[in-house]
Amino acid sequence: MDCATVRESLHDLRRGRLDAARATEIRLHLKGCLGCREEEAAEAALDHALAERLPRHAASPALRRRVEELWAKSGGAELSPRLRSHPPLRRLVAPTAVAALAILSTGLFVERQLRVRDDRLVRIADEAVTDHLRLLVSTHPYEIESGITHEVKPWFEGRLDFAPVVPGDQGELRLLGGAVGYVLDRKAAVMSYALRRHRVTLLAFPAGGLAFPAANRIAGGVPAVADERRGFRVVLWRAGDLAYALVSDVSAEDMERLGGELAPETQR
Amino acid sequence: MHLVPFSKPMADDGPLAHLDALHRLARLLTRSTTDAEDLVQETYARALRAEDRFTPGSDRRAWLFRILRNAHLDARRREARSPIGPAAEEELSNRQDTAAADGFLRGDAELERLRRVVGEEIEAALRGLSEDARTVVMLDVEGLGEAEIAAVMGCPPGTVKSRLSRARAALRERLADYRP
Repeated sequence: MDCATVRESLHDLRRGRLDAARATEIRLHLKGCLGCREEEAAEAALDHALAERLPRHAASPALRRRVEELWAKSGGAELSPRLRSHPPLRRLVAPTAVAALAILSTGLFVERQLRVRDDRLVRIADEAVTDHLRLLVSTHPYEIESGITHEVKPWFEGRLDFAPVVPGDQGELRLLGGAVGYVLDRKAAVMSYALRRHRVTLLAFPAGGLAFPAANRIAGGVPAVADERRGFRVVLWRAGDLAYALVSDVSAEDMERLGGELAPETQR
Repeated sequence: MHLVPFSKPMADDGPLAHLDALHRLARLLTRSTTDAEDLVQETYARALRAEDRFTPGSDRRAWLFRILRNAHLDARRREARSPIGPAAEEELSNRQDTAAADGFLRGDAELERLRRVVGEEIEAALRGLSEDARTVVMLDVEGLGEAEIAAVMGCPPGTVKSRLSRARAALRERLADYRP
């Protein structure tokens, strides 16, 4: 198999549209061909950018209302669209069956919503952990290196279109510095702390357009979401128009205490 | 890596289930929120008038995308705002050649750099492509296969493959302009 043929099939390979034999053949070629591997990596990078960075603009509530009104005027509102496509079936559906269907649909809807929330949690938590890891491995992790809140907070002005709360030292927690990073498709304030020998990252970013996962605990009186990703603990919470993500490998007790102290402070 | 589509395929899930996906494509085609919303509303108006012609069990999402694209092309023809077609295709071919020569977006370093590209920059890069190129990229992102995209665009599946390939090459080149 030559390189041109392989490259023509890379898109289908990533989309999972090739049969097993063909996919194996292409993967085998990729192992031995640097040029095609680079092409695959570049295409995968574009996929990543489109999937993770391209804003997912939902229809506005006004547009949704307009379309629903349009639908209602046509008589479609009284029926579910699926039943509307099959009028004879509608006449056969007994009231009890409709009730059973409604209960079943509600269950499926709730299950689907929960799955969506889980997906959102995974995406945001993964991003937070990746940003934390970047700070850990970087030789120059801070763009502003200062343990003084009144130096770090003004540094963000002009670099971000929002004003994050920058918590200062609290007990053993020491502010080390700050930087500008990215969470999904938006800029984020990255604040770095040390807790004894552990590093702690606090990210602040605009929450608009993000379907935030449902709270599963209370952090200092603030509804929050706690999760573990790749061995790191993550706590997420909202503060007005902003979202905050706390990431570290500290113990569960330390993380709970940190969340309980920082989440209320960011509500200012 | 598998791309997770913005809207997963649902064979006949009701028209309003696809409102957000239609709105996203309309935004990229019209370049104005107001025009995009008008286009989506026109799409639904046409869909309701043509509901009798929709075959139950077929792909309603692809059907709605096709109506949206046709409504947009009709509006463009009426207004004759900008050229669509051969000139843009030629531009894409040129970009593909340049892209191949430059060999941009290579390997993990490029993945990391693209990771830092923010959404607005990707949108701007998409808007810089021809309408056909934007449409084919967005339909692919929305999870449509080549046959479905071909049905929306009114062209053979083989043409979709080449258009998508050229459009992605042009997009990669445009995104290569952005540096963190």
